Amino acid sequence: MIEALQGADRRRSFGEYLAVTVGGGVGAALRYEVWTWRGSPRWLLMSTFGVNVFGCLVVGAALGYLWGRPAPIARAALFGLACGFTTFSLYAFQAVTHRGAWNSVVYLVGTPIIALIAMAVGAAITKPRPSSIR
Amino acid sequence: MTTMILVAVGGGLAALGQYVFSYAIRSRRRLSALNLLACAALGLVFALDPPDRFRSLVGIGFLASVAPLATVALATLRLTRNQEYRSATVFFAANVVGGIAAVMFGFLAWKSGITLYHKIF
Repeated sequence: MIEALQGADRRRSFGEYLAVTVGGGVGAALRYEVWTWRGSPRWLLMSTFGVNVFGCLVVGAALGYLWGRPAPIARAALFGLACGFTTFSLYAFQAVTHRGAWNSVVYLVGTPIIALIAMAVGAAITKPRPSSIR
Repeated sequence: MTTMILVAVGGGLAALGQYVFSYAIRSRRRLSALNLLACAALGLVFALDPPDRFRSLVGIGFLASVAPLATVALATLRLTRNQEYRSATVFFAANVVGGIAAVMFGFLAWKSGITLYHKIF
């Protein structure tokens, strides 16, 4: 996420730290809320898959939109939201502990690849084209 | 409701920690190390079978948020955009395979440790 979202070389304001914290909290709460919609083990896999893919799509789209704009607070909030909403460690944990072998394999291979594609698509949709920049 | 608040607090702290210490995780290797460490810690936390509040705050909140999938995807896309296809593939595959191995290591380390303890004592 690193330089694209953070702008780590400059001095950061209190508002940015606040935006990151609130974004992380809201993202994690949203992720948890989606998990609790149903109680089946299969839903846990599907919801984590959906959360990760949707989260990467939104982050990609937002990064494309913010391309070339300073917007430090919006970038900080997006950074927090991406941290809280998408999850790599729980994805790996659920893939390992799920009982259905084939579901696990499909989930294991499919989630990162589709999330990667979703982020690229999101960025491609919202990134301003060179001809539109004056 | 309490669980959701604990998850939100854990997620907020993880995001803040990542933001504050972002200067230390700029390289791909450090980012991978952080992801794998979080995976191993998460496996360990779930193997411990802790009380629900601890699991919500530390496991589902903090450790799940400190290693987001978006960072892996973004770093891979950046390498691809720079036409470093080999590095992108290696980074992506290493994180996915390593993350799964790290979760299993954390989970089994505790379980096998307990078994070993009971066999010895």
